[in-house]
Amino acid sequence: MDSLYSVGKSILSRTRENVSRYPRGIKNLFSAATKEVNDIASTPRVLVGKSGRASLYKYNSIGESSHEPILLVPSLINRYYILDLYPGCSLIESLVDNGHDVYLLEWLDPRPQDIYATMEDHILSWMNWAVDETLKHATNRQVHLFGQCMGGTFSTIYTAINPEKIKSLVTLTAPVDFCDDGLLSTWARESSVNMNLMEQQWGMIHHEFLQQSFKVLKPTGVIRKWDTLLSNSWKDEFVHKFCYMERWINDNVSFPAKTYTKYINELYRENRLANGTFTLNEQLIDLSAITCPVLCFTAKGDDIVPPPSAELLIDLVSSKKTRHVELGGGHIGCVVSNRHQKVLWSELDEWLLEDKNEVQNVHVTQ
Amino acid sequence: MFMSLNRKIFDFTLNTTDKIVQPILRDRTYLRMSSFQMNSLLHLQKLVEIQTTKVLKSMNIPTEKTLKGLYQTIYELENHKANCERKINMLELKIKDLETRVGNELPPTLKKRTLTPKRSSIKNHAPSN
Repeated sequence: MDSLYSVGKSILSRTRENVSRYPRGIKNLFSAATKEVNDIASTPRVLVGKSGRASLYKYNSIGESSHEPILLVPSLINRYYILDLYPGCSLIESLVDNGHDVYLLEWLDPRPQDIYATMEDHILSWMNWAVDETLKHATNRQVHLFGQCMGGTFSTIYTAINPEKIKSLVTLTAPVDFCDDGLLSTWARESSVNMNLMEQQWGMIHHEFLQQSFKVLKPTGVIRKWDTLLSNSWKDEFVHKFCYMERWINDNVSFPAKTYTKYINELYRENRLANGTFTLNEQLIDLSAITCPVLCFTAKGDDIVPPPSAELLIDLVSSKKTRHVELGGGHIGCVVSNRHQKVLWSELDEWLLEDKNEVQNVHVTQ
Repeated sequence: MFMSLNRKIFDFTLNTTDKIVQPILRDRTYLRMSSFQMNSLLHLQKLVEIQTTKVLKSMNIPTEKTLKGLYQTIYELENHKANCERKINMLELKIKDLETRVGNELPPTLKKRTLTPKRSSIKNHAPSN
C-alpha cells in the first residue's frame, strides 16, 4: 500500500514539474525566435594585419605573459568563432584569462580572384605570413600552433615544412589518416565525381553545397535537433547556447575549388599525407620531420573526423613529447559542450605551461 | 506515462530510420548513381556555358571567361605584391642584424650613435629651391 502511495506521489510531482516547465519553455522559445545574437565572438581583439585571404588578430591577454604566443588556425569551411562563441563559452577567452598571448588567423570570405587560390597559397603563403607576423609582433622566435579540423591538417603540414618556427603543435579533431571508415571518407573514396570538372565549372565550392553534404551525414539530425530544443526549452542556458550555435552553423564560408580538389583527390582519395607521398610545390611533406611536442585532441563521438583518423599523427611524428587526449562529445560538441570544453581548456592550458624539458608520452581518455 | 511512451516510440522511429539510411548512404550503387548525376550536371553546365559564351560574344558583352582572365591577373599581381613585401621584410631583418653586429664591434664611446640616418638629417641635405 505504501509503495503504491509513493509511486502515485512521484507521478503527481513529476506531472506538476512538467506542467510548470511549459510556460517557461514557451517563453524561452519565443525569446529565442526574436533574439539578436549581439555578443558573439566578443573577446576584445586588435587587427595585426591582412594578407590575401588571411587576417591576423591579437587578443589582449590579462597581465604580462612570458610564454611563447599561441596562434590559432580554425577550419576553412566554418567561421572561426566556434572558438569564441560567447562570454563563458569561449576557448579564446579561457586562454586569454589564463594569461596566454593569443593570435588568430581568420580566413576571410573568398574574393572572386580566390578561385585561383591553391593549397600552397593557403599554407606556404598565408599561413607562413601569419606565423611570421605573429613572431614579429610578439618578438619571439617560436610559436605554439593550434589547428582545428582542416586548420589542424594545414598546421601539421606547415609544421613539417617549418619545424624551427614551431614551439609545439596542437591539433583538435584534425584528420591525418583519411582512409577511415567514416561516411565522408567513404563518399570521397567511392564516389567518382569529376573533381577537375567541378573545379573548372564552379571555381568556388559554395557553402550551401558543403552544408548540405554535412546534413546528409545524419539525415535524422535535423529532427533530433529540434526535438532536443523542445525537450530542453525550459532550460534558459540551453536555449541561449542553441541560438548561438544556430547562428554559427548557418554561417559557412565558401571554399576555393582548386584547394578543395587537391584536398579531396590527394588527401581523401589517395591518402597521401599518411602515406608520406603528399607534396606542396613539389616539396615532399614528411611528417617525421616534426620533432616539436605534439598534443592531439580527438572526440569520441566524432562522425566527421573519427578518432583513429586524427590519432595517427602521434605515430607519424618523431617528437619525443606527445600527448593524446580523447574528449567526449562530437566534432563540435567537444568545443562547445559545458562538460567537454572544460577538459579541453584545462588540458590546453596545462600543455602551454608545462616545463620545456619535460619528456613524456601520455594517453588520456575522458 | 503517456509522455514517456511517446518518447520511446519517437526515439525508436528515429533510430530505426538511421539504421536503414546509413547502409544506403554507404552503398556503392547509390554512390555511383549520385556521382553520375553530379557529373551529368557538371557536363550540362559546361554545355550551357559554351552556348552562353557564344551568344554573349556575338553581342560584344564580356563573358565570364573574360572576367576569369581578369581575376587571374589580379590574383597573380597580389601574389607578386606579397612576395615583394616578404622580401622587403627579410631585407629589413638582415639590415637590423647587420646594424646590431656592427654596433657590437664599435668601441663603447660610439655605440650610442645610431647608424641609420634620421629623417631630419636627410631633410637638411635635400636641395632647397
